[in-house]
Amino acid sequence: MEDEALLELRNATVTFESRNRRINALDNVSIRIGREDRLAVVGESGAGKTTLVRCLIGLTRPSNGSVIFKGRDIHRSGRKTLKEFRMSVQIIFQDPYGAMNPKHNMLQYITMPLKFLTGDMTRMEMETRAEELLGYVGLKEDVLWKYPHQLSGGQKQRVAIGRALASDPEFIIADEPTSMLDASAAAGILNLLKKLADTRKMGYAIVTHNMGVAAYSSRDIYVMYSGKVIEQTETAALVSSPRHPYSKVLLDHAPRTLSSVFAENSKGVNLKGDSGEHDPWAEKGCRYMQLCTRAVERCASEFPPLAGNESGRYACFNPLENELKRGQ
Amino acid sequence: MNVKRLMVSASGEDTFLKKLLSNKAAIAGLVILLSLVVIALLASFLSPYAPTALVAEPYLPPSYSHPFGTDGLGRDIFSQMIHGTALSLEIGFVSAAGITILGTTVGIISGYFGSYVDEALMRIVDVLLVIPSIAFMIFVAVILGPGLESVLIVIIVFGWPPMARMIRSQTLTLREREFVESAVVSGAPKWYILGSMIFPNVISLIIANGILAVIYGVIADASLAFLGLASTKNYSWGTVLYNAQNEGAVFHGGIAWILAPGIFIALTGIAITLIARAIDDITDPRYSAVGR
Amino acid sequence: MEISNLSVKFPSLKGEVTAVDGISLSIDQGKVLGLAGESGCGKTTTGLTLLRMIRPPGVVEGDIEFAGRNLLSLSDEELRRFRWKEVSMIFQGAMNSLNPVKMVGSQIADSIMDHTKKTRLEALKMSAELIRRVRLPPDSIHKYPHQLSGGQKQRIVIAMAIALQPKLIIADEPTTALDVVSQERILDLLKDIVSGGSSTVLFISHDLSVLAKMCDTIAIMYLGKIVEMGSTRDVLASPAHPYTSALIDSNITIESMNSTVESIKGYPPVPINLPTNCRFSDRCPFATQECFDSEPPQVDLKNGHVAFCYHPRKENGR
Ligand SMILES: Nc1ncnc2c1ncn2[C@@H]1O[C@H](COP(=O)(O)OP(=O)(O)O)[C@@H](O)[C@H]1O
Ligand SMILES: Nc1ncnc2c1ncn2[C@@H]1O[C@H](COP(=O)(O)OP(=O)(O)O)[C@@H](O)[C@H]1O
Ligand SMILES: [Mg+2]
Ligand SMILES: [Mg+2]
Repeated sequence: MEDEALLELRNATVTFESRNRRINALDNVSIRIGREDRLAVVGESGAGKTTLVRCLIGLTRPSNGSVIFKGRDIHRSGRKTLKEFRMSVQIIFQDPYGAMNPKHNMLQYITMPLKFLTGDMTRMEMETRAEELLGYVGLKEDVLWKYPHQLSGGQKQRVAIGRALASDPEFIIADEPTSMLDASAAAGILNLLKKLADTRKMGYAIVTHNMGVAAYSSRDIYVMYSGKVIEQTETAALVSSPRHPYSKVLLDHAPRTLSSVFAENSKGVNLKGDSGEHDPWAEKGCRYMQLCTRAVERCASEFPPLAGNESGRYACFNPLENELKRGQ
Repeated sequence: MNVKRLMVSASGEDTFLKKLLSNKAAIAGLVILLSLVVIALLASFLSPYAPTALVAEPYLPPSYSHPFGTDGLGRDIFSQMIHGTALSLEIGFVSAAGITILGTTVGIISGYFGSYVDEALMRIVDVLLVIPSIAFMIFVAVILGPGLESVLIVIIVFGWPPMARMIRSQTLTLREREFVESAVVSGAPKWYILGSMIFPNVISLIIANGILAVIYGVIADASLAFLGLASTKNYSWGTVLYNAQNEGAVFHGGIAWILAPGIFIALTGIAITLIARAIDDITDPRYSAVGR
Repeated sequence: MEISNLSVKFPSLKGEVTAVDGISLSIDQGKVLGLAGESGCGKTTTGLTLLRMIRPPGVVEGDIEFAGRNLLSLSDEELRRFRWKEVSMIFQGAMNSLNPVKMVGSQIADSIMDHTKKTRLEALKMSAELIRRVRLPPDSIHKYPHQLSGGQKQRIVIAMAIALQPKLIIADEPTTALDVVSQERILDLLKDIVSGGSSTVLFISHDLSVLAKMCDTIAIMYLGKIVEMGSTRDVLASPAHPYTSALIDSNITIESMNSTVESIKGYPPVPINLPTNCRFSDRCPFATQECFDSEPPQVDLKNGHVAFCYHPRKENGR
């Protein structure tokens, strides 16, 4: 029915030892990414988003489960597959300040994939290609000779996208690409990603804690909480009718237009508990239960499975009503 | 090769040398160091007497003709110092080179490859750090006999572990940095990551430590001499100090005798620290341009 | 606090960087003033100046009057008594520079002892009380930074800033690195602190929706200059300066789902050797020749709402 997935995470679990105990930063997560998908992965910090990204890009090997690229497990195939994988799936890191070698200029940074992945280019060819890449991301050539500290965060993030584009990837995964940027620079980056996806038939996944950013840039959405995917559906459906109570909380915290901020005069959102006292990994049942306003008895003893159909899945025993169906 | 590229490209405009020469601290350091080198090279012309010649009464206090006085046999200490400069500097620089090469190689390999390579190398470091160095020095001196080679071997063997430790921990933090990972996802092989990502970012640490190792070498030679483990055939600043101790300089009011090596060692130290700090500033690309 | 004609310049190899360029501001007792603008507009530098933290070769000019004294003429001794007791700051990114090998409780105590003659025991008692005030569980004092989440670390930093009950707190991007949920909680806490006491706050952020929730008045800054200032509602609901409108329009919100959010084209340049004209002219869609040639006039709108622009809102056709 669907064509072969470009990239797939199958039942992946990543375990970390931390504070003298083990936590599953990623807990049996499966994700299927098609060629021209526009995905968002949303969750608060500590939800396991970066761990997910690192698995998808092959930087972290899941302790259980597999990463499948075009039908091949990237951790069980040879160099050739890995190279092909690196060429077609690229990443943009969260912190543009940290993702660049302070001793390298932008030419050295942006041409790394040309040197090691696409291969066989003269210095001149690389330079020309680098200028072309800067053009795609809306920067001028003089940026090539600059060092990271000479550029603003937004400019660096554009160069980072340029590097990711260098090998003509089919898919780009961006880990919180805008969280370190101011609003204008953030809008610029998201618009750029959308435009590149339109013009190059490329897909992307944007990881973010900000529902506004997710809604603006994605068609499908995964909501994560403490290492689990707790809801997965079309973005439009989630925004108008979230089924998992935590998705609703995230939506309620999304930035609003200034006029609605003034209108609401900041009515408190129903937040139970305060930060950090709650330890989701200690739960036997649903990890969100302690903070949930809709918890039922069953939530304490078993984790609700991610269930549903093609159009949406959620992991909750007492979901919110489906506003879309009711409206019909 | 990387060092060179770094030095040219760090500014994008000025060469490394040009920037070094426009830095006041570096100039001061270079002037002192060059003077010492000149003294070393021209020792026979600059020293008023031969270091071994008996030229005056023993244990003379400083005077115009003998700025540091004379030793227990009536030899001119100033001349001994001048003649000792060459050997002291040689010991300083050779041992610094050895310490730097060993310390850097072990540190980077250990930090980058981790696991059992790291485990093994760090055990060696630990062992060297807990062995009482005096005992080992005596042991080596007895086996090899006092002399330049044993001095260098002892200094290098005991000098590199702290440096390896330092470079290793810097490498460990660098390895986790996102810019190293951005090279990994760009398909960069290990040699590129080591040479182009890790190395340039530890180089100021290497230079700073390497330069400080020169002072370590000079001082270590002095203390070996003090223990009587260095060859006393040729003069170094250390042997002057050794003689001062051996011939009871303190009893005879020969304070200048003891101070002389101290002054020369301190001068070397100051020169080298000045240069190290200047290089540290210069290799940082932030130096050359307006920051954000 | 009354700031008049304040400038901060940093010499550099390529020329003088004018990070703050003759701004005048006043902050009323017990109120929250917001300072907004893209990164690189001089917000942090302004904040640091109010604590007298600009080090040479940086040069500060102008007047800062605080509780009847001129800040810029304080002696070292007076400065020591002034910092933290009268004005304190939540530094940008401070939560990531807590000492990783020290328990947070004793780090709070250290910062108290740095600025007072209190004994270690007294300072530790105070830090326990402060931990409670920033709504962390009591056992947090014995934790190390890596054992705390971003939001919790930010609370520690806030605890340090409010420790000596300063009259003015400067909060530099206190929520920027946090996720939306923690952001909300930190804002809640800050609101509480402001409403509870007599503290005045200078709230620096590039996030207008955060400022809209927190501030009584707001000043929009661009390349070292204030371009618009007034009550938060006036400025954000009916902006007069094109830069303010552009900032507002570039905010991505949950409501922007099916529309396009325009970013401001380009980035603010490093302010070196700038001509006297409207700083925003080269990025402004409404700029005319006079904007490029000379400094724009102050335009007074209602209720002390001011903008510095040749084409304030009523003219630019919105
Ligand atoms: N290298 C690591 N060692 C130990 N714990 C880790 C490591 N990386 C992440 N974690 C833990 O895993 C959880 C998920 O982290 P992360 O994937 O970074 O979340 P997010 O990106 O959503 O903020 C967190 O509780 C974090 O502390
Ligand atoms: N110590 C300094 N030396 C040189 N330039 C500086 C210094 N501090 C800040 N600047 C410059 O001043 C401008 C304003 O910076 P900053 O106050 O940090 O802005 P913001 O906080 O609004 O992002 C920037 O262009 C920055 O490069
Ligand atoms: Mg993350
Ligand atoms: Mg700032």
